[in-house]
Parts: sequence; structure tokens; C-alpha cells
Amino acid sequence: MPLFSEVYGAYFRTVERILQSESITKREIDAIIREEAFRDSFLFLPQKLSPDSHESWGFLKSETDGNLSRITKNPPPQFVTTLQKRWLKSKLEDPKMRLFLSDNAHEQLEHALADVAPLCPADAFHCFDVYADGDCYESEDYRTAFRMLLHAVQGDEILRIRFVSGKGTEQEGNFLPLKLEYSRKNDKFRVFCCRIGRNGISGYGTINLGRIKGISQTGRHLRSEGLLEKWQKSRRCKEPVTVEVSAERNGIERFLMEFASFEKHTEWDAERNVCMVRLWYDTQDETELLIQLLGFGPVVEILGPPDFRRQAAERVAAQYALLDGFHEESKNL
Amino acid sequence: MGGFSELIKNFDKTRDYVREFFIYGFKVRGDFDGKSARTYDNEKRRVESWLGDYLHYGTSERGKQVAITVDSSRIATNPLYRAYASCSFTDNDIRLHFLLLDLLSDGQTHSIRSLTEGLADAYGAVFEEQTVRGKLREYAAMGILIAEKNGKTIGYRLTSETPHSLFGRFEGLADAVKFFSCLPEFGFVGHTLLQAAGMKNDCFLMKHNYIVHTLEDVILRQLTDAIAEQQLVCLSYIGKKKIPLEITGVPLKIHVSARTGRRYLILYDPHYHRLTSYRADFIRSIKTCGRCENYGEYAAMLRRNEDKCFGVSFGNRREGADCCKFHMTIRADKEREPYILERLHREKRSGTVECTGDGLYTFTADVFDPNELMHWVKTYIGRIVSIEGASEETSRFVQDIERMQAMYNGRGEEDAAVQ
Repeated sequence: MPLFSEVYGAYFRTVERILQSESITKREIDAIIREEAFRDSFLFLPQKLSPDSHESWGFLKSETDGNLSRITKNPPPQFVTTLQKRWLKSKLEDPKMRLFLSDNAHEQLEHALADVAPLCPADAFHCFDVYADGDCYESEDYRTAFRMLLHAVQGDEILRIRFVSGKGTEQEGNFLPLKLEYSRKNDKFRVFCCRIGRNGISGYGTINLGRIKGISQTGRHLRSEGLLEKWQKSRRCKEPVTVEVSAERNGIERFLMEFASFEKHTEWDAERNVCMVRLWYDTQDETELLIQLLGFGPVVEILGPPDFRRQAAERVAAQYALLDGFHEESKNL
Repeated sequence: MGGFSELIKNFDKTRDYVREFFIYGFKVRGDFDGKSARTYDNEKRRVESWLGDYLHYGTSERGKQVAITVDSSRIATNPLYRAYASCSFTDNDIRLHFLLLDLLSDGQTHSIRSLTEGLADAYGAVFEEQTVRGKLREYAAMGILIAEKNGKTIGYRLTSETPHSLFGRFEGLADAVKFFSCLPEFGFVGHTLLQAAGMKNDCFLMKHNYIVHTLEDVILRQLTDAIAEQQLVCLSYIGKKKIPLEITGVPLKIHVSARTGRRYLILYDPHYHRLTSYRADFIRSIKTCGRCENYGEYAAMLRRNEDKCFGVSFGNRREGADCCKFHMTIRADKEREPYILERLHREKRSGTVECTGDGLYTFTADVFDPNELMHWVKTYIGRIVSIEGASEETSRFVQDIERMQAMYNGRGEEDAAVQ
């Protein structure tokens, strides 16, 4: 039951889509290859599909009108493999599954998958550094808010939301949810949304689902296309953070692994055995990034922008002042 | 570049290249030790073909560098799933797939002989019965077909379950699959379900999303199977020092870091009688070596020790040896900076937090390896009043702060020299 199998591959997907139609043009085939296969697939797939090629798989034959028709009688049938069923079964054990499925649907799906084992034992994975204050997925209010937001994201629906802000104040307003975001580290969901005022969009914001106190439908809709990208662009840092990472303590690998999720540019200075990295970040996450960089200690030096470096310097100076309080014994070891 | 194919037989070599391009991004052709220029060119071309939109090229004094760069908090689908869609196959594989499934589309049970004859009659595709039997068996094992015995003959029919029927029967399931397909640990499987149903994730984004680790899932599949079957395994492992090792042991659990995305196999080492962790991305291959009779005993040993493991290190000790009581005291203004205390509480793992003075809060934990805490400790730089219970680590922390003070504020070097 392999994960890496041609059955899930791009070429099989491409052929499957081509064989959906009884008759197809070469242009339509090209469009499917472009959508489903890889950039270089045009060098390999056309001769496999062409009835005139000696390399042909023989799935298509030429018609008098210049089109191609499939030799098969039916569109390729769909199926669910045991691997896919086992994966679904293992997800049933995740408490987040009940955000999507009602208790009844959960029970029925469990019954439908009774004859397969989960893909892995329930306790095979242990995420050791997840924050302890994750969202409460068991709460009925939470589940209701989640489902309402999910439907609103899909249907461009404006919702009335009452929530406690990060500063602890209660707020209420009309919001157009754009996308739901999950962080495994925080074990929390939040929703990116537009605030809707009397004259349309009056701002953008993020609401943590765990802080929602009330939610209701307004029956109003607004097209959300492009709004999230616009907001994300506005939140992107004007200037990337530049850091120098030394090879000490396997710093380069550790750093690049930890910051693999960032958009970045790296350059290695072989002479000094250091890596120069520019990181682009979301300005909302500036403090989190600063803390993350300081965690590397002297292995990473923040070079700029000046204000970012200043914040690091202030924290280091404050810590340096606190060293006097450390036990002399540890200081002098 | 004759003989180049964008499809591959196995993942090992490609995993290395994708990882190097993605993680490092600064490596040039000459940095790929022991690989010929031809191999590098082929692998690079393959990655370009799969992930063209995410590749960036730069030039440094050392040569042309290739990087896969993506802000993974803004993507709907892990682009590295495309690497999983590149499994090679033979012409017979693909012919048999579509032609057999076409014959079986009627939902009826067919014998091997009738299918072999059907292939020739309906499509002029002549195959030996043995070849057809092999493919039917393979697909029955994958769950695509259902094998039914009728007397002495085995017949095959198509499974009736489809992604559409599943999603139609269970309201909310399609959205659940959209969500779970974004998560690490076999998210690709969910992605294949969505693809088969012609769907895409259009609702979710993932923060702290370490997409590169999906490349280890082939190895993880074997490991989780070995855990489920309580098998002893032999790992082929190439660690940081690049020395190939053969490691035999009992796989017990996979520890995952949400902060870095890294996965570690926790293994009971029968030779040294202790628990050890191994990075999943350094495991090259796995062989199972038979069922472990004492599996329950080792699993219980892990349960007894897990709360003293702050991450993945069980130290260099055998079970029962002392662990260290680690204390870190920080200062925080409860009224003005409640978020600091909230942070400490949510990040404390198996440790405890108590107020130990006016604006002072002490984190305490029994841990095997205090060094494992130090990265986290440094995220509180500017507030740490004391560290106790780990003299070596504390000493290094003090030196680190002195070096950082010199680095950022130009002082401290002289002080350090005076000491």
C-alpha cells in the first residue's frame, strides 16, 4: 500500500482527465497536460497520447474531423483506495474532525470505515512543543462558530461577530471572512476578515476563533476575490530582516530548517563560513520573529533593518544587566 | 541529456536534492558532493519541471545557486506534493490500469481469463494472463478492486466507493479533507482524494507550516507500520557527520516539533538498553527484522520517561539514572505584561510555573538533557533573572549573553576578558 505510486501520479491524472471525454481536441489535451502534469511533460506525454506515434499508449484514435476519440467505452471510474480509507480513519481520531462532521456523521463514517485499520496507531505521533492553551474543539459554541465561518468563507457571506480582542476589549461588528488559518504550534484557528462598515470595507483584521463570543448571519454577501492577497501584501515587511548565521553549533542547518517556512534568500560566505540570510515576514509577527531569532543566541546576528536590530540590542542589554544576579559559581565555571 | 525522465523510481536521491534546494538555497553545483555534473543537472531539471514556479536562481561568487523559496503560510497546497506525483511506471502499467478499469466499470465480477480476453477483444491489447493476474492482485491489495472467490476461480470487481460518493454521504467530509490535506504526516493522501474529486483547498491556510518534511513521509509510513506491528527494525542512517550507520532497535514513537517541523524516531536500543532519538530526515531506508516479543515492556519504559524529555533527548543515561531539576526564573509585571506569563504557561510542557517573588516567576522541570531547553530559554532574553540546576548550560548561557552584548552593544568583551 505505497504512498509513492503511479496511481496517484500526474501522468495517470492527466490521462484520466483526457479520457473523461468521448472526443477531444489536441488543444484541449494540451490544456489538460498544462494543468495536471509537469512543466517538461510536453516533451514526453504528447507522443504517448498521439495515435500516430510508435510510442503511443493507444488510448486515443483519430477521427475524420481531426479530433481524437477514446478507445474506452466509459469515462475512467473513480475509486477510493485502502490507503485513502486508512488515512481518513486515522483522522477520525483527531478532535478537529468534529469541527467538520456532526456526531451522527462521525459515527456513520466510523461505521463505514470499520473494516480498515487507521493509517498509524493513534499515539504513534507525539508533538512535544504544542502550546498548552489550544482551542477547545469540544465546545459546541466553538464548533458552531467554526462551521458558520467556514460556510461564510466559501459563500462570501458577511457575518456579525462579537469577540474579545487581543487587548482584552469586547468588540462587535460585521465581517467578511476571507480564509481560516490554523497553526499547529499554537493549536488554534483564526480567521482573516474584512470589517464591513456603512460604506463597504472599512479595514482588515484577524479574529481568533477561541475569542468569539457570538456569531450570526447577516444574509448579506460581498465578493472576496483578491481581498486576502491585497491585505497580505500590505502586511508584508517593507524591508527584509538580514541576519548572519555562523556555522558554530550546526547553526546554519538549524537556522535554515527552522526558518524553512519563510520566504528567504540565502548566500554562503565560504571564506568566513557564515550564511547571510534575508527573511521576508508578516509585520504582525515581528515580535515572534525577534524572539525566534534571539533563541539562536550568538550563532545568529541580526544585521538589519536598524529598528529590528535595536529591539534585539535592547533585550540583550537588559539581559546583560541581569547577569550580575546569576550565581557567581555558574558565571565562573 | 539523453534518457532524461521527469518520473522517478524511488524518492531517495530526489529527496536530498529538493531538501538542499529548499532548506539551503545557497548551494552551487560543486557543493553536491560525490554526485556527477550529469546527475546534478538531471535532478535540478526534474525539480524545475515539478516546481518551476517556486524556483529562484541567483549567482554568487561561487556559481549559480538554485533555491526553492515559498512563504508557506500563504499557499493552499504543499507544492512538494508534486514530487509524490512523479512515480515512474511502464507502458503496460498504464495500459492495464485504464483498460482493465474500463472493463470493470460495469460493476460486475470478472474472472482473470475473461478480463484477459476482454482486453484483446475490446481494445486489441494482448497481454499474458499472468501479467493481468499480477495487476489485478496489486489493485486488490490497494483496495481499488475487490477479489471474490467463486469455487476455484477468483473474480475481481471494482470497489463501489468513490470520493464523490463519500463526500456526498458525509456532509462536511470534503471540507475536513481540505483541512487535513494541509497538515503534515501523510497530508498528501488527503490531497489525492481531493484531486480525484476535482476539488482544491479553498478555505484554509497554515501558519508555522514546514512543508519540506512531507518528503520524509515515505519513511514515516514504514516506521508507523513497524510501530503498529511491533517490529524490530534496522535503519540505514546518515547523520550530521555524514557517516553511514546501521542501527537496530525497537521503534516506539515519532516525536514531532511544531516549532521546526522536524520529526524524530524514538527507538529502544537493545544494545545499550536505552531510549534514543533519530532524525527522520536522516533515515535512508528501513528493514523490518521480525516481531519484538518485549515490545510492551519498551513502550512502558518510554511512557515512564517521556515527561522528563523536553523534546527528543533522553540524555546519555540508562533508565533510572538521575535527571536534572532545571529552574529558570524570569521577571514580568503581571499587570502590565500578562502575556509573558501566559506565554510561560503555554510553553512549559511538563514543567511547572510558580510565583517566587515580587514580579518573579520560576519555571521548574525534571529533564534528562537541560541543553535541550536552552534554545527556548533564550527566547526570554531580557527577563531571565537566574538559571539553576544546570551549571554547564548556565555557564554557556552567560558566555552567550556576553558575546551577544559585544555583538549588539559593543560592550561586554572587556568585562568578559577581566573575568
